[in-house]
Parts: sequence; structure tokens; C-alpha cells
Amino acid sequence: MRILNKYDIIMKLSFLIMLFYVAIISAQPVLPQRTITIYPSQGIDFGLFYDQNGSGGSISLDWQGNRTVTGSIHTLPSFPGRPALFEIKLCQGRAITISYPPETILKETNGDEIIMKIGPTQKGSNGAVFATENNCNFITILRVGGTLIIPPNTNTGVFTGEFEISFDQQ
Amino acid sequence: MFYNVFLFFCAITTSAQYKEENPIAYFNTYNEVLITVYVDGGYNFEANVLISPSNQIYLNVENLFKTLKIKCVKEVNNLVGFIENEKKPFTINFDKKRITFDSKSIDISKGILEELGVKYLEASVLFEAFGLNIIFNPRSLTAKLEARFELPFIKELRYKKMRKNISKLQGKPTIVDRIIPRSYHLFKLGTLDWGLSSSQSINKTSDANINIGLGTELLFGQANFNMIYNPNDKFDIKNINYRWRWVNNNHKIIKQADIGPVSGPKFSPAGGEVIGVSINNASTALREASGSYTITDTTEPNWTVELYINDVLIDYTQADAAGLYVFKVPIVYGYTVIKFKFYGPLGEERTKERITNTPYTFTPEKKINYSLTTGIVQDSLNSRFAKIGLNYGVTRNLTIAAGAEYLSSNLNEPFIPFAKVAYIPYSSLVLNFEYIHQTELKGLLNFNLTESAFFEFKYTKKIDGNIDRVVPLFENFEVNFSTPFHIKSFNGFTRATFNSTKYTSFSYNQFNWTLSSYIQKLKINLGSFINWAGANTPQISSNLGLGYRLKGGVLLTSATSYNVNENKFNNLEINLQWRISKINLSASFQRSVQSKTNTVSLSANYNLPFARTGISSSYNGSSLNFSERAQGSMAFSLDDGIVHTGKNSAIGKGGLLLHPFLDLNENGKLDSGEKRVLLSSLRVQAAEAVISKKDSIIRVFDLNAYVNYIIEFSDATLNNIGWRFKHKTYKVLIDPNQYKRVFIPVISVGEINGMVYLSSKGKGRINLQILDEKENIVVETLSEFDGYYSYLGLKPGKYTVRIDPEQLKILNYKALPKVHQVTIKVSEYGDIIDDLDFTLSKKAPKKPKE
Repeated sequence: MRILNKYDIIMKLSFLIMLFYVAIISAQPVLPQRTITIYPSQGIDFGLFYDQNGSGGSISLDWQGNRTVTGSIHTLPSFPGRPALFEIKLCQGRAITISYPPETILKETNGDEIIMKIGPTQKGSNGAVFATENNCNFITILRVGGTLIIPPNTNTGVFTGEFEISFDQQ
Repeated sequence: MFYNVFLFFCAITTSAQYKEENPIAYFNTYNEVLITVYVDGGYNFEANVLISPSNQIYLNVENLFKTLKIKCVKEVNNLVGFIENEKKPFTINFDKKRITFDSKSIDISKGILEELGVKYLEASVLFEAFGLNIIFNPRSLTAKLEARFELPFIKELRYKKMRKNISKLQGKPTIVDRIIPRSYHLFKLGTLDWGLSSSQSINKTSDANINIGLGTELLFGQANFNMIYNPNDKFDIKNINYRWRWVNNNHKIIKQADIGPVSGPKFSPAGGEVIGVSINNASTALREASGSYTITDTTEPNWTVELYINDVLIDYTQADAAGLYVFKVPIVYGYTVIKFKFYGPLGEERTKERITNTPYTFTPEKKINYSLTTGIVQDSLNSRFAKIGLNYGVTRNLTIAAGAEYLSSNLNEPFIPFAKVAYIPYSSLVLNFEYIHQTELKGLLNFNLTESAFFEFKYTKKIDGNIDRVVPLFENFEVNFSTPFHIKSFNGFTRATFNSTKYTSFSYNQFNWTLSSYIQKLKINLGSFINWAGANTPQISSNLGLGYRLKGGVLLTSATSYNVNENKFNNLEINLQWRISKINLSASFQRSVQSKTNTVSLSANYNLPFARTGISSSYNGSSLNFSERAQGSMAFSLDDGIVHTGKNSAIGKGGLLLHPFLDLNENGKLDSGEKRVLLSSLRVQAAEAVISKKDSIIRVFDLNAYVNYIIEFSDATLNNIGWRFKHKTYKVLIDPNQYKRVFIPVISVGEINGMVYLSSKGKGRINLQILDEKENIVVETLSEFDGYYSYLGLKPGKYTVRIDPEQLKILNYKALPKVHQVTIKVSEYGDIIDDLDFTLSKKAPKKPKE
């Protein structure tokens, strides 16, 4: 049985991220290969935290891996969490626009839900533009953070979900 | 200087001679008295001492050292032995009147007495020589003994206590008078948990939840039902969760069975919860394997944490300013219920229970443990799931395991076999290897470098198989090291963790370091956290937690986190906690530098006897939130018409209702006409008993089901001197979700008394024997100095009372009458038979045969 306001609220977020492949076809002149490859290497994980008196709050994990809390949420340092990581490989140095929905829903197996706000990323918030290295073998690592909104009296559990990020090559 | 002294309690053979001495001279100088000596730790013993007119006490050093278990051997006219260890020998030389110990030689000529070969030393001499400080109180005839070293007597008791706990862990049977096993029922009520919570936000919607849980015994197993209901949603019977659990540690084939939600696939992704059946033959009782591992975890700052293994208190510690606590946990065979109890600085109490997630499982030598699970995944396909595992204990320290997992929705690889090896080469080292076919390879090394320093190495490699997976391929290793440290007066604990995950083209690394210490009342926790991905710049942050207890029990804690890369604080937090008349209050202020928000929170918690309640509010500049909650539980006993309310969850737990009663006919049952007995106290292992003056029934709550509890009674808690417990210790297995009735029979015992005379005067030190109908000696007792004797404690029945024939023979006496035949009758307050007198007279010397 789940108990209201149970001590530790352990929430780990696994992920499933879509791979986006965008190929823009154009005429002359013939340009080098424009394939962009994005690989979701690491899921975002908020680590261990608890709601001290059941009044809820939020926990943010920034792209650097630092956690900040509001309300009665407190972090436990025994597992600090980790940001989501994407490997981006683009042969030709071109700008990439990141876009993602503002939030996603995480579910517990018993049906409980909490909201995760996506971002910001290492390169900025939704709509940010950044350039990758002009080298086919160079990997650009993009870190992505998030914020969990914990409603009051949330039950203890492991909440999982997925989110999508689109990478558009200019 | 020599004194002539006289012994009251010398051997009987010598007592016959004392009339030849001059007792008056002795009594005028020294008195021999039996005193009680109290030792630290709540222990005491009795000793005969000589008391001088100025209230100085002289002790029989040989007997004293024997009681205190200090090595002491008589060699000619010396006493030799050692204090603490063999490297510290001592000699008490009674000829030269000197004590030699610890490179000192002390003259004891002024503090020595001798009578009939027994040597007495003055208390001050013992203090000067050995550091044994004996403070005598002549008014109460007691003395307090303090030693500069740990007395072997105390040490032995301490070890005995510790070993008692260990023997419980090893599953060794504790010696008890009566064992009460599990009782099975077709249906029995029950326990109930309830919870209400609501929250409101200004300008936002409000929310409320009702949580109801019901615990029963159904079809001889534990059946739990639970539902969380939100009034905004439609009621749906599908939202009721259920679980049926059956345990029988004496069954050969199945010891545990579960129906309901079971643990799902571990190696393939499942789209939901698995509902099914799980059985195994692993006993829920504990047996300790060799070796141990360390649990390092965090809770709220400054809380006291207790560690229980199957409800046996193993250790306790206090969390530091950041809530860090460390325990060394012994490894046990099979399943372990590790329970932590947390006690807040303001008197809060909360229990968190969890099943150990040790990656290794050990099976007793030459035993096979199996586990079988099957069920339906609650996904759109209703996927089928099954898992079988076999563990075999090759030796006491080596267990091999193999099994397979099946998931129908994993089309590429529905069957995934796995194999495991767990090995303890030395008690300080644990190794574990695990291979999951085409999925994963795992290795683990746990090493206790010293008594408290711990090292752990974990390795995980995902194998490139054809399995439909969501987790990308990676290779991970983690190193943990933790140790306490003592640098002069600076004590603390440090922990470092390095975790590296290698992905297809780069690695993500984390390094976490924590130092915890205290300076007087100030607790400090300092830590650093570094992470870097590939060749990118490392991200570094540090955190500092401080805790300080102010006057009046107010606890002030602060926490801050600093971003080294950006040279700015991430957040700042200050908390104040205090308690006013059973209400726990807390106020906190948080400043998040990153999001530029300030949050102020206030909360109040109050524990009623039947519920925990709390309200809280927070304001962060844009929204104001309130929340309220209450939770509690009930446990019913329909047989006794008792409803117990509590603030902790009652589902899955059990209780005891103990009925002490005066069992006049000794049939062990409470019959009509037999009265209930009110006890003043009793001891229940790891639990608290409540004695009701109203109905004399003892209630014990919050016990873990399927666990044996030891209950100890003492005759001193009965309010009649003639009453005795038929069984003083009970071992009771707790039935789930119910109160178990246990009848505690108390019997009344009889007393006999009389006098022993010799030449019309009372004669002391005469040994009287009481024999039962089968002529077995039930008990022996001595007559007092005036010839009076008595014995209380005879069960109803026929007895024979006589003077020890051996003693009569030695003394060459005869007794008249030779025996008394007595019958102790059944009586509520115990039968008393008086005036069983014996008269001794010298036997006429045998005439030599002519």
C-alpha cells in the first residue's frame, strides 16, 4: 500500500527519445553530405529527493547537473541525478534549431502522474539555435535539463516517461 | 596489625566450631554484613563485607575478583592474576603485605584483615592499587563500584547481549518455555488504513484524495486491498489493488506464495504492472552468512536512525547535518527485511521499511532455493510473463544461480537466460557476477578494508544482442569508498564515489565527495560534485550543510549549493524547527538563484493517538499553496471486542492480545471462575506493550507478520507473592492483519515454614530438602541463624520435607521427626503450611563391638 506523504519520493525518469532526421534537398551547387545523426545516450534522472511535509513543490535539474528545489521538496545527496545527454553528429557545420514541447507527463504503474517541464538545454531554451563543428567525426554533446512539478501529497513511486526534441538543420 | 574476625557465612563444618571463639570481641569491632554492590550499566551483586566502626569496608578480595570475573589464582599465600589483559599482571603478597601491579608496589599492611585463612582488604587499598573505587553507603547497606577499566564481568554481559542478537540473526533457536506457532484462518478481520489529503492553490484548482486500505486473513493467507479515490474522478472497481500472500516456513515445497501484483521483467521492457502468481521455497527466517556490507544513505538532518533486521535492533546512529548515515549490515541468507526507524530531533518518529536490494543472494550450503513467477502484463497486448530462478549453495560461502525470463511482447528474444555466482572468499570480501544472455554482464566487489572503511566496485556492460531495448548500449563502472577518520580531536566520516558511463562515442563521469563532521554542537556536511561528458569542461558544484541546536530545543539548519563554473550560488536555504506542546513546527526560506525565486514555507504537524495530522503552506512570489492531510489506522479483534487506533499503517502488520489469568486447575485455559491477573510490566522484544487496567488484557501493536517475537514475564510483576508464571518466556509467531490471542497462565504456589532446633535453641545453616511424590528433590533451603526456614514456590501437590541426610551424617545428628508429609492445596493466594519443625539431637556414639 502506498502511504500519503511517505518519506522518500524516489522518482527516476527514463526516457525514449525520437531520432529526427531532416534532409533538405536542394539543387546546385552540390554540397557535401548533410546527414545529421542524433543519438540519445543518457536519460535525465532527478536522483533521490523527498517531500518534507507533503505540501509539494518542484525540483529542477539544470543541464550542468545541479539540482534546485522549491516548496517542501528536499534533495538527498546520496544520488545526485544526471542530465539527459544527446550525441549530435553533423558533417557540415550548419546551425541547428532545437524545439521541444514545454512539458511531458510521467506516470507511475498505479496511474499516478506528475508533470515534467522540459529544458532548458545547454544551448538554450526552446527555439535556440546553435552550430555544430564542421567535422564529420566530431561529436557535439548536448545536455538537457528539466523540472518536475510535485503536487501536494504525491505518493511515493518510480515515475517514468518520455519526451521528444526536434533538431532542425538550417 | 591483625584483627581477630569471625565469619557468619563460613562452611557448615566450621560453623560447628565457632562457639569456641569469642564473638563479643568481634562484634564490638567489626560487623560482617551482606551488602548490595551496584555497578555501572544497571548490574548489581551481593557481597559479604566487614564494616569497621568508622564505616570503612573490607572485602574478601578473592571472592570479589571471582564475581567480577577478574583472573585471580591463589599461589601459596599470594593471589596472582591480571587486570584487563595478560600484559598487566598483579600480585597480592599477604606475607610481605604488598600489592604489585602496573609497575607499582603498594604497602597494604594497614588495610588488611585475616580470619580463618580468609583475607580481607580495605576498599581504599583496592582503589589505590587497581583503580576499583567502592563507595559504601552505610545507611542503605549498598556500595557503588566504579572501575578505571572495563570490568570483565560487564564485558561478558555486554558480549552476551550482543551474541543474543546475533543468535537471533543466525536463526538459532532462542531457548523459550513455550512456542506458539502461526494459526491459520479461513477468514479473519482485520486492519484498516485511512488517509485524507487535500491541497488548494490561490487562483488554481484544488484537489483531494481519499486512501483506504483493508487487511484481512482470507483462505489461510494474508489478503490486502487498497484504493486511492479522488472525488473528481468516477469510482472504478478496477482501481482497487489487491494482494494475497501466504507464508509457511515449515512447508517443504512452498514456503511463500503471492497472488496479485508481482515483480515484473527485469531484463526486457514491460508496458505496465504484472498481475500474477509467485511462489518460492525461501524461508522468511534469518540465518547469517559470513561477511557484511555497508549501507550509506541519507535522511533528514540530525535524525536518529535505528537499523533492525527482522525486528532485531542491530545498531543505531545519528545522521549528520546533511542527513548522511552509515551502517554495517551483516549478510544473511535468503530474504531479509531491513527496517529503518527514524527519530526526529523534535520527537518525530517514522518508520521506513524496505526489502534489501543487495545484488547478491546466498543460499545455505547444499540447499536449493527456487522462485517461480508468472503473470499477465497490464499492457495493451496483455503480454505473458514468466520467470524461474534456481539458487544452489555449493558451500556456505558460494552460491550459484541460473534461470530464465520470458516476455511474450519481446518478439526478438522472448526467452532470456541468466546465470549468477555469489562468493565470499573472506568475511571482508564479497564477489558477485551476473550474466544475462545477450543483455548484460555485471560484476561487483564489496570489500571491508578495516572494521569501518568500505570499498565497493561495480561494473556493468550492456551486451549488443537482438533484444528490443530502450536503454542504449553502455559500459558503466562505479567505485565507492567510505571511511570514518579521527585526526586528534577531530572526528568525522568521508565518502567518495566515482561513476563513469561509457557510451558509443564518449563517457559521462561523475565524482561525488562528502565529508561529515562536527565541532561541539555544530554539525557540518561538506561535499563536492563534479561531472563531465567527453572532453567538455567539467561542471563543478559544492554544497555545505550546517546544523546547530539552539536553546529550548530549536534546531537551526542551513544548506547552500555553489556553482563553481559560474562562480555563483545555486540556492540557499534556512530551516528552523521547534516544538511547542506536542506540535512540531517548521519554517523555511529558500532562495533559488537560478530561477530567481524566493519560497517561504510554514508547516505544523500534530500527532493524535489515532492519526497524524499536518497542515502546510508555501508562497513563492507568484502562487500561494495550502495543503492538509491526516492519516491513521485501525486494528480489530472481534473476539475481544477491541478496536485499536493508531497513527502508523496497520496493514500487513499484526498484534498480540495477551490474557494473563490465574490458572487454578492448571489446564492452560481461561475457564469460568478463573480470574484475570493484572501485570505491572513485561518485556516484548522490539515492541511496546500496553497494559490495560480496565480488562487486564495486554495489547502489543505494530508487529511484523510472520516474525517470531519473544515475550518475557517476571514473577516480580505479579501483585501477589504467591503467584508464578507457568511459562516465563514465550515465542509467538505473528499472524497477519489481526490480533492474536495468547493466554498466559499464572499459577498460585504454596509456602512451607518451620524451625530447626538443637538443644532447645534455633539452629542455623541446616539444609532442608523438599521432595515431590516421586522423591525427586524439588528444592533445598537453609535454615536461618535463629533456626527458622521457609520456602515459597511449591505448586499444588504432595511433598516430603526432610533435613539433608548427608549433613546429618556429617554432623552426627538425628532429626525428629525424620520427615514431614505435606499437601499444598489449590488456592487463589497460595496455601501456607506452618510449623514444620525439626529437632536435632546428637546421635549416641556407637558402642564398639565386643
